[in-house]
Amino acid sequence: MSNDKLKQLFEERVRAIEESPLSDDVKDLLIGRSMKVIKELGELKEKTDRRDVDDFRVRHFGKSGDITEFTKLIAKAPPEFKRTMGAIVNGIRTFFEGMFIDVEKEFSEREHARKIKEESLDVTLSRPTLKEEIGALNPISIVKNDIVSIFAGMGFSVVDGPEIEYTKYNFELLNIPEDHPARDPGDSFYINTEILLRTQTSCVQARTMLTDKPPIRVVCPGKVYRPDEDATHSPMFHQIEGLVVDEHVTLKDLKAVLEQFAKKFFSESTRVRFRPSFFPFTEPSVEVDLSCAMCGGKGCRLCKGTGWLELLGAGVVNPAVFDMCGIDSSKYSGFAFGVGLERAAMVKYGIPDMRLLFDNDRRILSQFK
Amino acid sequence: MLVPVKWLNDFVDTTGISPEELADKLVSAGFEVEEIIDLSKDVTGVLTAEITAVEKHPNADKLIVCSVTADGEYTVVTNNSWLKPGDIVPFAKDGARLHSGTVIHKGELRGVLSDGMFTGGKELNLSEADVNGAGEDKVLVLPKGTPIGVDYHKALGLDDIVLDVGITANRIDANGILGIAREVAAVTGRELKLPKDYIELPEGDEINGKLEIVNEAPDLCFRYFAAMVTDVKIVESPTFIKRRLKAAGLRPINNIVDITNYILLEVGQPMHAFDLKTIKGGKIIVRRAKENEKIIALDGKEYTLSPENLAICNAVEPMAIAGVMGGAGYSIFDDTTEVVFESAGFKRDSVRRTSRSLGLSSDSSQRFSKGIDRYSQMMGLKKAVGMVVENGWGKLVGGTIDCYPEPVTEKKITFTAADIENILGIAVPEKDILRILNSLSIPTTSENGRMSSSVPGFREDIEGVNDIAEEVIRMYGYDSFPQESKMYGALIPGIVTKEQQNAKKIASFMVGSGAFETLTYSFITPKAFDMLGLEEDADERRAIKLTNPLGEDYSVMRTSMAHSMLKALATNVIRRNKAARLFEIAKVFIPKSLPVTELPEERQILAFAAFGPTEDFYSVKAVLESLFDYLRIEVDFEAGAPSHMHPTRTAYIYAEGKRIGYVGEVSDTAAAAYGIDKRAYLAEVDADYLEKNASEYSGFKVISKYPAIERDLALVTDEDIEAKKIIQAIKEAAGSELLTDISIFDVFQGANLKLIGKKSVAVRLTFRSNERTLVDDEVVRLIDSILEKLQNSLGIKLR
Repeated sequence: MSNDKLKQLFEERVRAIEESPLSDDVKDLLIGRSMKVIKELGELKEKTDRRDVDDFRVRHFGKSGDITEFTKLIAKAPPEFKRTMGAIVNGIRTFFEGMFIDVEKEFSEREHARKIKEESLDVTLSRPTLKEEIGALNPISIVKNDIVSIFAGMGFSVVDGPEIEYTKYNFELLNIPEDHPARDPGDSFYINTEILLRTQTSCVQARTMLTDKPPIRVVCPGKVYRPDEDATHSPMFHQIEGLVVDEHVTLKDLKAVLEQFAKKFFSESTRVRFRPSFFPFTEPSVEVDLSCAMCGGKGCRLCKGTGWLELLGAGVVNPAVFDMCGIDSSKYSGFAFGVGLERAAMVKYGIPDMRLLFDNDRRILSQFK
Repeated sequence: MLVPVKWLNDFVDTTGISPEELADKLVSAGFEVEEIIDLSKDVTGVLTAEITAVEKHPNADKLIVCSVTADGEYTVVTNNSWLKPGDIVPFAKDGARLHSGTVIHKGELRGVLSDGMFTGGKELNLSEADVNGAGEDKVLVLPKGTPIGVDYHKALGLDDIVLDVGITANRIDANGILGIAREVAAVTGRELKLPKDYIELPEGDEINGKLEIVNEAPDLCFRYFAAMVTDVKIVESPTFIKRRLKAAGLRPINNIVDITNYILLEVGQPMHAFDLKTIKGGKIIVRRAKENEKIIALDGKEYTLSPENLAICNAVEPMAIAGVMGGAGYSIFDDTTEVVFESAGFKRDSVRRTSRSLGLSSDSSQRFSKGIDRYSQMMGLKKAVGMVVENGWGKLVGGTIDCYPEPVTEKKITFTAADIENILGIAVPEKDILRILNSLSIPTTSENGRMSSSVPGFREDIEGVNDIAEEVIRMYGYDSFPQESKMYGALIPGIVTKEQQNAKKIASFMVGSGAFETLTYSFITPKAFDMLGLEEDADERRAIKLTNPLGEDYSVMRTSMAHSMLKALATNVIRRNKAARLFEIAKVFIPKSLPVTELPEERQILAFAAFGPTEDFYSVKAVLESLFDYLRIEVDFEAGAPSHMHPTRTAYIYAEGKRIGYVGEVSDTAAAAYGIDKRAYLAEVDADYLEKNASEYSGFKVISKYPAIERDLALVTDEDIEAKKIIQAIKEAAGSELLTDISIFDVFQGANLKLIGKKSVAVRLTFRSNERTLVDDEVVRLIDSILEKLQNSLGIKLR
């Protein structure tokens, strides 16, 4: 409300008092006090301390405030003036209350604006401690979680098995007989002739088939161990094994499942290629190449110009394995696959040396937030 | 395996097929080609040249100036002043690159321009096996009639392409040129032909009059096949044989020894040749060696044998370590005239074990270790006697001796096209199946849709219909699968167990608390136990040892995560990172007995480690407390420390009265043992317990709508009274109905207190009722009884 308007309204009130049939004493009292209040109200607008506003409220609108006292005059007024008196006093009070609310609101707004200004921060700054307070999973766990979720979405359950294993599960039941070169001590860490660190998560295949009945659809992530150490080998590394046993399962289904996996893990445009290979527990066996995640198949440094990345081994479960694991090979068929997680992580994140995954320097670990 | 294309062409004509195309075909058939090596590319720009004129150098006595004709006319200055017009020599032109990598430039030698240089054999990586004279340290003079002006590789027949082919473990038949040739014939559709020196083995029994063979160990030697040649002339092998051996890294020795090595490469059958006169008693005995029986092998070293080792003996002593190496005194000598060729089948694990236990490896032992089929012995022997006869190096002795107690019977596999489709998921027409199998030398016929394959002896890997299906698809092509994505099968849900979910929850929580997940080896050094300060008889020292670790540092299976985490911390401290919170959930291995007789207990441990300017015992403990809270697991902390932890700054963690871990500061001695020069914090918690016992949100509780009253008490207590005891006493005094929270927000100990052995503890109590607004009087009464209890049970006073 503009000052002129206010002045005009106030003068209307004063005129109403003057023109009223009240005694001059009462008129002087009302007018005098009102003048004082309006003056103070004017001053209050300039104040900056919140307490001045509160103080004003108490002095004028409090229990014994000026404006409050006016209402008491109504009661004291002679009966014939009570109505007039009431109209005048309430008029003044409403006027001042309105005025005060405006001033108070203005004051709050001013105060708020000032506070906002005072509290302004450089929001482009970051507090070091806060910025670094989140940790990260290592890339192997990230890749493992990703792969497990993809297969869980296709109806695979997650199973686990021991890392220290009987040769029976690691070899015999997987169709790797006693005299097989893969059992050479150069290729496995032995604890004694019958117990070793598992060299592949495939042992969990055997364990699952011995305990579960088809249909079986499982993935098994875990640590495995082989005596190699260089830029692309670590004596401890991680695999995810997958196994499907059901009626009428074929190599074509394996390709379909792995194609889905490849698309979800890398991108929708990823293609899958099978190459013949050999694993004792699958027949036919295939190496599975995915079109290069970096160049899309054109050929680059990552895929060594071939356009393909070798990422999995897979195949149709060898009926001999079924026979040993108590599954009727005339009724059921199945497929299995194994993914090396280190390789998957190295491809996905462009990590040049496998040993970096085991380095444990936070400057490496903190890159995988 | 290295496969020179020229050698391959002895069996199958690959003319018109580029090496790249050949490699692609082999890859698609399951033979990885690691590399295509062009032998002409090692040295470039060296031509054959004929010297047409020789003049003295005008400015130097020891130099001559030669005019030469190559692909043009050149002038070459050389110090090989013995060269004369008419000599044909290798001429490195301007820009030529030699084996050493040196690039030749033309330039002036003492004022005369030389267009290049002549080279010796060494600069071209040639040896005597390739060309006579190549081993000498002077310019190589090539034979008369060598074509002039062409690349020397081509002129000398050294231009060849070598494929480095990877052989999968099942294809033991493909570890030779012949085996690869069979595949090449199948993938190219060309005919496989045997060279004419694979002759029929001699008939008769003349050999029996000269030699007897006894196989006393048929379990280690499934076949011992021998033939004999007489009137043998020991000479040098022809150049092409020497070159092929040399290219494979084998040293040419003489024609008979070279035959055995040549067959190893071509057939994949390791052979051995004995001089008949060294076979004492005219008797070859295949038997286990006697304990401490000794033999000096061809490498000149003496080996002590045991019954673990199979030996090829004469009537008196071992002549060879079966499949590994011959004895020095029993091989072929310059005066040898009667030769016995051994073509045997030794069991792969027997050869492997012997080779390993003696620390003696050879091309033969490596070949046998992969396993050998029962067909190659025949092929090897045919080739051996064939090479002798065809080259005129000797005469056949009638008959052969074949100790072969259990000959393989021919395998027949019958199947239908539908059987193949059931495995592959795609239909391959019968005519294609027949074509493919026959091209792979697996004779297959069909009658009314039932096909029947006779599996040849060399394909021991083919046992059933699945194997047939693989043969078919690898030739038919994996690219014939449709691009559609369909999978048939029962509808089954993918199940993630509660434990698996909780493991993920724990990991996420740790990440949220600022910790980075490490990855540490399950095997550690046995020194760890001392570094951790474990007592001599500590349980943790009872660890499982690997029999063949990669090294001492990786030789025992960890029984706790402490060593692994301290190492990870040390990595960060030593590399001057300012701070780090690290965690890992991994297994430790607790043997049920030692030595191990059954699988150990594998316990999952959550390990948490930290260092940095803002860390202290409480900050680290707080992470765990929040985790337990998150998992709704109630725990109790009690002072106590394992050997590697600070004795008064570590707490054991209990849940349901069972110790589930510890948290605290690493002792300075343990920290020092790992090179950590800062305060470090470590916790280990039984992750299996957490995963099993974490509980779900379980039922809604209505919150009180009445106000709370807070009261702070400043207490003076003896300094050794733990917070837990104070809280316990307060709870006992006030009950839990109205006293809803107790927190200790300040502990102060110091001079200002003016009381030795005392500390000030500030406790905040929160009272609230679910039913009404509390009045002061009630709270005052409760506080009075709390103070009384504190005074009486713990001697604690208000400050």
